[in-house]
Amino acid sequence: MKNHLHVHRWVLLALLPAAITAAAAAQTPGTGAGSDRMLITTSSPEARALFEQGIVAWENLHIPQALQCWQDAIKKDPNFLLAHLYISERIPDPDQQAAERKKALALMDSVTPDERLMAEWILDESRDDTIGTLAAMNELLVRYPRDKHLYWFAALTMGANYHQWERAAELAEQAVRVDPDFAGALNNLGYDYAFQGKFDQAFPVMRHYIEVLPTEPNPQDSYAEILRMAGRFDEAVEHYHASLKLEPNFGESLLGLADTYALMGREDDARAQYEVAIQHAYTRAYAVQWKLKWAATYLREKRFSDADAAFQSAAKMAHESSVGGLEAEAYRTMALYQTDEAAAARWLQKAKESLDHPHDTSQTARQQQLALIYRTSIYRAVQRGRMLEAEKTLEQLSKIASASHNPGIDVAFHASAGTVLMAKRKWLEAIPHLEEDANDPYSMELLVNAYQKAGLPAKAERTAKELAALNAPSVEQALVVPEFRAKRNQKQPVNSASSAADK
Amino acid sequence: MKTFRLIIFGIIFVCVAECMCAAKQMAVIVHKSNGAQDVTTAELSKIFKCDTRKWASGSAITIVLRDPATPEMELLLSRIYKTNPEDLRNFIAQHHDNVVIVDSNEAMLNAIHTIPGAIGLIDVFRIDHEVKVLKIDGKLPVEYGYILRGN
Repeated sequence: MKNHLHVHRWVLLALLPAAITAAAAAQTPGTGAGSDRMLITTSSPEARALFEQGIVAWENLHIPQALQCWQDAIKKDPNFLLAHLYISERIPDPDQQAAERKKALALMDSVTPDERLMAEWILDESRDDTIGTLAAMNELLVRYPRDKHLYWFAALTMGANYHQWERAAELAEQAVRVDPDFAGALNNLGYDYAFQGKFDQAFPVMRHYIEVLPTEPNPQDSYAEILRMAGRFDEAVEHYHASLKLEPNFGESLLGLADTYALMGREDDARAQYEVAIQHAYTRAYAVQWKLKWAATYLREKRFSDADAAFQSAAKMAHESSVGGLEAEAYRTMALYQTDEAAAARWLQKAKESLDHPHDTSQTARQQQLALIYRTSIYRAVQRGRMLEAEKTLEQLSKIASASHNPGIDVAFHASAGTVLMAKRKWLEAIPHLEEDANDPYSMELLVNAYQKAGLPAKAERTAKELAALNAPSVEQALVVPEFRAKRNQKQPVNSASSAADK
Repeated sequence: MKTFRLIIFGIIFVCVAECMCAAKQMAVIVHKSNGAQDVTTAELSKIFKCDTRKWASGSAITIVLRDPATPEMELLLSRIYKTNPEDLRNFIAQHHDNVVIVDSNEAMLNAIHTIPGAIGLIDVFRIDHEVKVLKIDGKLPVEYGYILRGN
């Protein structure tokens, strides 16, 4: 694979005469802006080689190996800023993240201006300083238009962190232009197209990804997933099996197969498959997350008592695994579908209490989860016509959103504000809020209604079609989409005529 | 989907991330040496409508725009100019000494880098280090309630 060529180039540096100064070693290879790669400052050629190996491992999604390489690099050169930075970016433990960021900050004066930009990109993002992140990232991209690794990382940042799929695709396309067989970028690009609904572009990219890495399971897994997103379930199952043939314990494909069965309505098969996946989860947190999906299969069957028991068992597992955010998520989900108001209030209270237990959840994740709990409270209050309560909770959520630039919290606020405004029949005011959450099933259903009431039938029909075609294996999809499809099949499509104002 | 599941460590939000598309967020940008930091919607409106022609420092304001029919102009049209593309074209023709039209994001950034006193508009995800993003009514493009944010 082409990515490894860089590793070989770095290894050659180890053969440079020992007399070379540390500073000179730090300036090779590349000459900064105008060359293909950014300069990397380290006193140890071995550390540099390990760092590059880590990047290749990361791009191919071997995260533990990547972390190991970067940690080994730091053993060779404790003052290796980029290695500290990359560890801080990928390590899951919040305390370790903070420690690595602190080390990186302390080393800022010892590196090149471009490395400082890289540090700003990563550190500003960790501080929710989006403007700083974007300015630093774009500046570096302009300076190194042929650094495929930078473009890959930028595409990942734009997609995974900001959900800017169009921009992410543009960046991944540049990485693929530099290296048409760059596996990591092909994987990203396939998803970036799929998230925009551009399946005709996504499928060939994923097929090429399979050609580039024919013996690895992830390309088959990724292709299966975008087939599922497009509603091509049988083909998705086929490719998940192809992935598992290559690596029988590949957790993502074990899970993907279960998700696909769930969306197909094969809930018994889905539960059995989730149980297998849970056995092969990478961490306890993933196991809990997948247990929640297992519990959600009962919702798809409308077996609500069984769902209660299943979600409580997932909450218990989360508690025992010290994953408070997921424990809260289990209780919050239970509140979402309860018909009994007292029961819903009880589960929401338990969700809040879970966040106060001592556990491994970071402060940001707690705030995000709290925002979701408020969102659910508001949704239920509006459903029951308790507008005063809904508005009071919205105020609390608004305070959290004002104090944060976190996209998850922001979206929870907008979805809730839109829900309240819809209840007040303020359609035009509700629309911009709901559009901020335009692919969540609850917000989409409200948007269909808002567009209809506001005299925008073409937008209503387009959103209705998107909602009916949504194949995300989430609780929200399970609670909204099947019923929406059934209702839609019973009646004529929402007025398909477009008005002049409907643009 | 190994990419996003493994890479996003905020585990709870994976499902949201799978299907979430963010709204467009247009940044109002000036040269980084410009002393302005924060403007009100009313002040911004006066600037873009050529009612205010100088910065507080006394330097002349040059407005840099994309073609009024481009997607990048939609929010500015509806929320600041409150007009349609055709009327904005007429307005630009009447104020050609104060307004520059560019045809790409790169050209927009280049104009802000090089024209003293320039003010323009770009998708916030394309800003660089050489421009300053102005707050509007105390808010940045990434903050809820920011006026040039929406679909």
